[in-house]
Amino acid sequence: MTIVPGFWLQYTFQGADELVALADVLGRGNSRPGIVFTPTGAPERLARLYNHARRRGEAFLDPSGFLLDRPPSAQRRTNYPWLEQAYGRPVDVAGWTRWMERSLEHQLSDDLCSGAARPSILVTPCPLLRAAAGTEELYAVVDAAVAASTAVGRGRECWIGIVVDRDFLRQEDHLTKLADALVNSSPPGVVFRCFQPELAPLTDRRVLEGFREVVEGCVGAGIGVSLPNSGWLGWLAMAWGATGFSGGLSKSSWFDRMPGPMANVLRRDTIFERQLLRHVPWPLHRLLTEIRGYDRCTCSSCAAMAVGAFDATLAKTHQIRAAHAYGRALRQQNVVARRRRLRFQIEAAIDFRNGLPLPLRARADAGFLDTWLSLL
Amino acid sequence: MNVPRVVGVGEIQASLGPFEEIAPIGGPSGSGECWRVRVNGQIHVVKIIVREHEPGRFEREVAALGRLNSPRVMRVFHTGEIVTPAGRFPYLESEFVPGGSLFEHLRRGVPTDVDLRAFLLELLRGLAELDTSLIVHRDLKPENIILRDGNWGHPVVIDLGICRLVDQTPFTVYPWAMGTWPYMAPEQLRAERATHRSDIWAATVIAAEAAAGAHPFRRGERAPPPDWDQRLRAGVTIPGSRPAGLRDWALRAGNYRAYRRPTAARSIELLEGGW
Repeated sequence: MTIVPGFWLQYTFQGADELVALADVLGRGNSRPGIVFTPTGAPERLARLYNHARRRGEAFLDPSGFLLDRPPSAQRRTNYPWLEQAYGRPVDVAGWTRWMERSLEHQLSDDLCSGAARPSILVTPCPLLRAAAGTEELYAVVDAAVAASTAVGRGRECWIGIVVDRDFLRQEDHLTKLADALVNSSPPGVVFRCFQPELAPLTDRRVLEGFREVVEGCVGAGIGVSLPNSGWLGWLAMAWGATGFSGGLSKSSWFDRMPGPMANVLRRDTIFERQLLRHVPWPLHRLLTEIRGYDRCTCSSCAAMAVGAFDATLAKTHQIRAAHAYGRALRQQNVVARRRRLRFQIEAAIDFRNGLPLPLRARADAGFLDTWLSLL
Repeated sequence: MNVPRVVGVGEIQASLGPFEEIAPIGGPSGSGECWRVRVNGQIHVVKIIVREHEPGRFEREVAALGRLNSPRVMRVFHTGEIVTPAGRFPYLESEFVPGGSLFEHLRRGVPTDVDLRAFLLELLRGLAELDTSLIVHRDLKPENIILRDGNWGHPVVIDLGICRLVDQTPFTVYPWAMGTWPYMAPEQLRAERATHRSDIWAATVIAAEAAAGAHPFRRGERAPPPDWDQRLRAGVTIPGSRPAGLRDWALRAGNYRAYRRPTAARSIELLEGGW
């Protein structure tokens, strides 16, 4: 497996330059995080930043094929040909194969690489697969991914991209078909995304169990699993054997959300609370820091905030630093050791939550910790 | 009940030339009729396809067998068509593997631990070769395994009539269910796509049957009983008198969920390492 296990930075349209620069900062001391690029914004900027990142470390392009099913933007149509929808959605294996080949060719082209090394891995694009539509498209997409990676991959490591709605994970028959299709296609790895109608942290036990089945099934068959855009759910998945997860400077880069109205939307000024393993509003964070036994974060972002008020940029970099450190701690460990480590961290968070005064405990809303612990 | 054969001896001889000896094997079943023939002193099998259950099935079997050159899978010498007034029937001439089917051997008794180990490892090597050749058998059962010269250590897989070639665009439209139900994996019974791991399921059921002298799930029924799926979910059991390594492997290889089953290659590692 060529990609480095652990936390990766997730590239987004907003803050793209800052994100790539952050990798350089975090990379001091031989622990530079890789970057998951996405086809967004001007291709010249993407190529420039990819070039910069790839010359210094790991990087690949998640082709984000699910955008095929979203309203097309003129920019996307022009710049990223596999998302243009010019000839409609493919309907059979041959059509999907041609569609995927266009994306793989772009990933190997100078349009992206412009003199830098080719991506750490190639990734086949995938439309959003909906359980309600049946499994015919799943089989067609997986067959096409195998065909396209053989035709265009030219011996390079090519992972299969898979994007599903949550019903694929919640319904046993769909979950079984999904895992069977992935395991039997025997790719070196799967870049897996599942869109949700509720914000992080995920508490839907059936979805979480489905995630675990997919990850454990793939890992048991020697297939790597990368979870771009998954944030702390991806960190949990590393305890099941996942290779890596990512998040970035944009809030949307920490969670794959279904377009449309969302449940439990948080206010804007939030910060990742290490002792509860979730985001909390800034005022609550300030109250928590007054609790006896509170373990203050010593990262440079928090140090800068300690003397002033809430700073959105520093709050974002604080979360990235935490994820980077947590991911790095798991990098060299086997699944048993990872589970032990996560269990310890989650139990510590539960202890902290349970020790809070009742009003604060209710506001902390950290019931998900019990669900997560039970899945380890 | 004796079902008359569609193609007679005279018609076979007329198309394939005279044989030194020709005799029917078994009764007509499935899609084919089989004959044992002697050519230049060597015994071959001629299988004539008289009923096509699925378009292209015969061509697929020929293509699959043509990919393999293994002592663990029946070899094919040539193929062609027999012309009769009733129509044109494709045929396949293959080696005759003497020794009797696993089905016949199991009626006489169960193998020793040593024989069972030799049989299972060799069967799994054959399945690993099928996997490497991107072939899924889909109908592995005791009747489709011959013990060459009656030796448990030399099983030969025959009849790839309903196999699936993984690297060709599948023309099987799902839901599709074919095979022999007592040995079909849960996903096959649900009429989903069969994979290499479906063959591993069948191998596990066969191993359990050979270990115990009785099918692990079937209690004499002639059709799947209503609680069949529940029985499969409960998992394969191996008698306690058999080696623990076999039980450990069967637990994994007989997993209801296909993606949790080990491949044939991995199964060999598990059994060799922990029998």
